[in-house]
Amino acid sequence: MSLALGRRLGVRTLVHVAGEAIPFFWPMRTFIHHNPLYGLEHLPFEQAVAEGERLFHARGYLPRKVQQGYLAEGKVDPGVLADEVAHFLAGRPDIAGLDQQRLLMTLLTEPGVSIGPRPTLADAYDVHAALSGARLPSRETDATVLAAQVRADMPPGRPPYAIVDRLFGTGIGATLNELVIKSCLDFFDEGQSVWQMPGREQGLFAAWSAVAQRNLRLFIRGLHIKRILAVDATPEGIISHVMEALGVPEEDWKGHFTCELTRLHGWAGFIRWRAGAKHYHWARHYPADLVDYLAIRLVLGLALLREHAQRKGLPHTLAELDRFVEAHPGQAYLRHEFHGGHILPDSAHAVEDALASGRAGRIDRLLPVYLARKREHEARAQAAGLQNLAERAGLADAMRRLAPEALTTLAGTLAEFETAEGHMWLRALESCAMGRLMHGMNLAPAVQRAKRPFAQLMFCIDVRSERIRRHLEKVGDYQTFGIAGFFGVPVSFIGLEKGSETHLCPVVASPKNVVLELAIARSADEQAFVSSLEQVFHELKASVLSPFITVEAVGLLFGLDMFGKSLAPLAYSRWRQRLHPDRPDSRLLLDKLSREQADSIIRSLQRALIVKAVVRELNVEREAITDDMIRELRETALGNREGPTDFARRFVLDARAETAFIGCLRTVYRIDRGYAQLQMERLGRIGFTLDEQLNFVGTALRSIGLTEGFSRFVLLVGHGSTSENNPYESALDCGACGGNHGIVNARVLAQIANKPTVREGLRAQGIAIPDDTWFVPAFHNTTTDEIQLHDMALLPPSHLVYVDRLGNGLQSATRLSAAERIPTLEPGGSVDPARAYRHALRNASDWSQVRPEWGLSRNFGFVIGRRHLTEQMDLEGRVFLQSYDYRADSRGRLLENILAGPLVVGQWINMEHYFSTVDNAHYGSGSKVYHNVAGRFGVMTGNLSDLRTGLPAQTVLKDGRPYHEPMRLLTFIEAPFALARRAIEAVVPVKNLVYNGWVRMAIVDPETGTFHLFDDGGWRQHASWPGRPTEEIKEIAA
Amino acid sequence: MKNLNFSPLKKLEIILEGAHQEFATDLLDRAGVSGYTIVNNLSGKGRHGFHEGHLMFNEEAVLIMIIVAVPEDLVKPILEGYAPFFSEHTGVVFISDIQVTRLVKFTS
Repeated sequence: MSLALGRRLGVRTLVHVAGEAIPFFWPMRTFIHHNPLYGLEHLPFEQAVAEGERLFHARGYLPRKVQQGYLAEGKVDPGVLADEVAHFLAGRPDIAGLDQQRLLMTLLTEPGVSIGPRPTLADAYDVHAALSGARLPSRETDATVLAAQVRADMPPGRPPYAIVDRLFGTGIGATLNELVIKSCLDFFDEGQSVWQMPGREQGLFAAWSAVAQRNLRLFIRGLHIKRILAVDATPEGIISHVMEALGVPEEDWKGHFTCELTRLHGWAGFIRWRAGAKHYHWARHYPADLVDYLAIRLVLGLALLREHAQRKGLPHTLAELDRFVEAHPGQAYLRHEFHGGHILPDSAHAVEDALASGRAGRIDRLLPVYLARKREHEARAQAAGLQNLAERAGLADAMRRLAPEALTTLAGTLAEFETAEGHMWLRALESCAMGRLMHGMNLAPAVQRAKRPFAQLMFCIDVRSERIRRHLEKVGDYQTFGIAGFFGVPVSFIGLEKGSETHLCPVVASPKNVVLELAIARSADEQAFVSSLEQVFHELKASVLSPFITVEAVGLLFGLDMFGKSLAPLAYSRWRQRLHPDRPDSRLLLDKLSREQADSIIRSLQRALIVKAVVRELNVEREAITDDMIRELRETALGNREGPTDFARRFVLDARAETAFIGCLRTVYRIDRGYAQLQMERLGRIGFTLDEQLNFVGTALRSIGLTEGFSRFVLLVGHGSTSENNPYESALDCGACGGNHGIVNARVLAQIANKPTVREGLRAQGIAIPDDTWFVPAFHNTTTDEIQLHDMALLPPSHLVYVDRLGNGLQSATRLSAAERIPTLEPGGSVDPARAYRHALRNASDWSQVRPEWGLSRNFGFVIGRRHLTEQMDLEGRVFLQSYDYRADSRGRLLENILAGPLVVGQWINMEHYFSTVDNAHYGSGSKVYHNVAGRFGVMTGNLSDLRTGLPAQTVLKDGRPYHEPMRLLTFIEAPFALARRAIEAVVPVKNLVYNGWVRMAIVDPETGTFHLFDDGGWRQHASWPGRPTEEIKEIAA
Repeated sequence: MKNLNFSPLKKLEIILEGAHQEFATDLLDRAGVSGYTIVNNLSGKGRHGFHEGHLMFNEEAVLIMIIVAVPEDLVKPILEGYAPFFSEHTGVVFISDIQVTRLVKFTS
C-alpha cells in the first residue's frame, strides 16, 4: 500500500515548509556565515527572536548583567534607554502613587536587582499579603487551573513522547536523539569511519530501513520497527501513518514536523543544505532529504513511545494524554511539577514517593499540602523581589501602599517589560555605536588628488581589511578601495589536480562559468600556452577536462569520478580543501573555447573511449587497432556512416556481433550525438566571452568609483586565513568567496583587466586605463596580515624597478597591523611591530592555538560610500567598507547590486556573530576544547551530540564574557536620499531586512547634508545626527 | 505540413522566488514529468510591489518561472503537492490548455 501521488507530494511539501525555519548547515570545509534565524527573516526582528526562543529554546538578547556592564563603560546611552522605557510605558495603565518609569529604570540599570520568576499559583492578593507581612488568604486551587497549567505545556505540535517525558519522566526524547544521531553518523560518514553502511546509494530512508529491520539491538529493546515500516514503502507514507497513529490532527502536522526537526537542528540543517546541493559529491552518491530524516525520527519515536507505553501502561496518543489530564488533573500537575523541574526542592522527595506509589489516595492527600506550600513560596519570593526593587528605586512606601488590583496591573507590566527589555538595551547600544560612527565621519566634499597615487589597492569589504588599509594609507602614497572579495566575478573553479568545482562567489549566487587552472611547464607566452593546452587535451588522464565533460557513468570506466576520490584524494583525506594560492606555475583558462577546440576535445575523448571499449569488450590489444579503424567506428556509432566496418573484417565479427558492439559504444560508452551535445554544453561553460569580461571589469571599477587616475599598480587583494588543526579555519576565510580563499577571483579579474582587447573595450565605455597600469593579484593572509603578490612572472619589465618600494610599503603595513592586533589576542602581547608580526606568524602554524585570530568578531558597521568619509577614523577592524561613488551611478543600479550581494553577505556574518554571542550554547557551538570532528563535515560536542552550528566560544567570547558586541548591522549609505531609498526598495529582500529591522539603515545625503534614519517603520530626517557624542555618554557613565 | 496530430495537454506556469527553484523542480521530478523550462530574472508587479529582474549577485531574490506541460491527470496531484508551499510563500501557478504535436516528448 502506498499514498496517492498528490497526497505524497503534499506531505513532502509540508515537510519542506516545516523545515524552512531550520538554518542551513554547510560542511565546515567551506564555512558559510549565515543568520541562524534566516528562515524567520520574513518576520520583524523582535518577533523572530521570540519565535527562535520557542523553536530552539535559545535566548535572543544578552542578559541584563552584561548590558549593565556596557552601560558602565559608556557604550549604552542612558538617555536612549530612558526614552525606550517611556515609549514602553506610553499606552500602558498608570498606577496611582507609583513612578513606574523610575521603577523600571531601576530594574534595568541597578546591578543585582531581580524580581524573580512570575508566580504560577500565587495571585496579587497573596503577594499583597506577603508584602505587608500578613498571612496569605486561604483558598483552594481549582482542578481546572491545574489542568490548564499542564495543558499549557502541551501546545499543538508538541510530539506526544515529549509530553509523556514531561509527565512520566521517561526520557524518550533523549534516547530518540541518540538513536537518530547514530543513524545519521552511519549514513552521512564521508570516509572517517572504517565500516561503511550498506546500501547508501538508495538514499537515507531506504538504506536505514533495510538496516533497521535487521537491527538486533533495536529488537532486543522491544522496538517493533518492522511493523511500522510494513505499512508503506515510501517515507511520505510512513510519516502520514505515524501522524495518524499518534492522533495528531492534520492542521498541526506542520508544527509537529517543525518541532521534531528543531530537536537536532544541526543535523536537520545539514540534511536540508545537502539535499539542495546538487554539486556535492556525497549528496549525489548517497542522497538524503528532510523527508527521509523525519520519517526515521517518527518511526523511532513511535516505536519507543509504544514500547514505554506497553511496559508501563502509559497513555501515548494525544487523545489518551488529554483524557489522562482531564481525569487526573492533580496527579498530572504533580507529575508535571516533578518531571518538568518546577518542583519545590524540599517537597521533591514526598512528591516523588507519592507518584511512585501510584496510589490515588496518597496523591490526593499530598496535593493540597503541596499547592499551599508552593503558593506561599511564590508569594513571598515575589514580594521580596518587589520590595527590594522598590527600595532601590526609593519607592518602598509607594509599593507597600499598592492595592491588590494595582499589584495585578504592575505584575502584568513587569512581565511584559522583562520580555521587551532585551530589545531596548539593543537599541540603546546601537544608537551609541551609530553616533560614534556618524560623529567621526568627514562629510566635507572630497579633495581631488594632485597626481595619481603610487599604487591603488582593492581590498575585500571584510572588516579585517580596514586595519591594513588604514596603515597602508599612512605609510605611503597608497589609495585603497573596498569591494566584495570575489571582485564581482562569480567563478566556478577547477584547480590543478582537482576534479571538482569550487564555487567562488557569495552563496546567494551560483556561477555559470567555469575557470580551469592549467599547469604551464615551459614558457608563459601565449603561443606556448595554447599549444600546451592542446597537448593536455590529448593526454586524457592528466587533463581536468576529461572528468569535467565525462559525465558520471562513462567517467567511472576511466576511474575518473568527477567529484570522486580518484582525482582528489588529497582533498578528501584532508580536513578541508584548501586552494593553493602559492603555485607559481599555473595559468587560468578563462576565455571561451573555439568551436574547433571544443570539437577536438570531444573527438579525442571519444577516440579514447573507443579504444577502451575495444580492449575491454573484445579483448583486442591496443596495438592491433589503427587510427583509421577508430575513426570509422566513431563515425558509425555517431550514425554518420553505415555498413560493415574495417574493424569487423579485421577481427572477424559477424554482423550481429558488430551491431551489438556499436550499440554498446552508443549506450555504455556514450558515443552518440545527444551525449556529445551535452558535452558541448559543458565545454561551453568554460571561460567568459569578451563581453562578459568587459562587463566584469567595467562594473567592478565603476561600482567602487575608480574610473580615472589609475596608478602604475592596481592590486586586487583577495584574502584568507591559515591556521593548523582548526575545523573552523574556513570561517576565517572570505565570505564573499563562499568561505574560500579569495586569490583565484583576484587572479581572474587581474588577468582579464590586463588584456589589451579588454582595455580597448573599456576605453570605448569611457574608462581609459593607461598603458603603464598593471593589475596585480595579491593575497592578504588575515592571520599574519601578510600581503603576497601573485603572477609576478607576468609583470612587465618596466614595473620591476618599483616592486621593491611596493614590497616595503606592504611589509610596513603588515607589521603595523600585527602590532595593533596581537595585544587583543593576548594580554600583554607585543606592540612592537616586528615582534608582533613574528607572534602572528607563530599563531598561524601553532597546532594548539584555539584562537589564531579574532576573525570578524566585533563587526558592527557597514559603510557604503567614498573612502574620505571614514579615512580619518580608526575603526578598529570592525566595519565593512564598500567603496561607492554615487556620482558614477545615476540610476542606482550599482547600489542595488551592492545591497543585494555584499550587504546581504555582511548581514549574514553580522547575525551569525550576534546570535552566537547572545546564546553561545544554542546558536553558537560552545567551546572548541570539547569538539570532535563528525563524519568529516562537522563537529559534535563530546562523542555524540547534535552537529554544532554557529561560531565557537573562542571566536565571540573572551574569558567567558562577550568579546563580540552583538548589534545588528549598522549600515550607512552615502548617496542622495531619493536615490538610495529607491535602490533599497527595489531590492525586495534588502527592503525586508530594513523594514523588519534586521539591519539598521541610515542614509547620509552629501548633496543636502541631511541624515535619514529608518526607525519605527519609517524614514526620519535629521539635520544633524540625533544622538549624544560618545564623550558625553562616557561622562554620564563615569 | 500534412499529418500533424494535435494532442491536448495542460500547461502550468509556476512563478516563485529563485531560492525555491530546487524544491519546485524536485517536486515536478517526483510527480514524474519528463521535462520543464525555466525562465530566470522575471520582472513584474505583484502584491509585494515591483520585482526587479536584473540583480547581478543574488539569484535567490529574483523571481523565476517554471513552465511545464503535463497530461491532465497530473495537474491535480501537482497542485495538491504545491498547496502547502503557496500557503506560506509568494508565487502563483497559471494553468492553461495547450496542444502539442509530439506527445511522446511530454509523457514518461
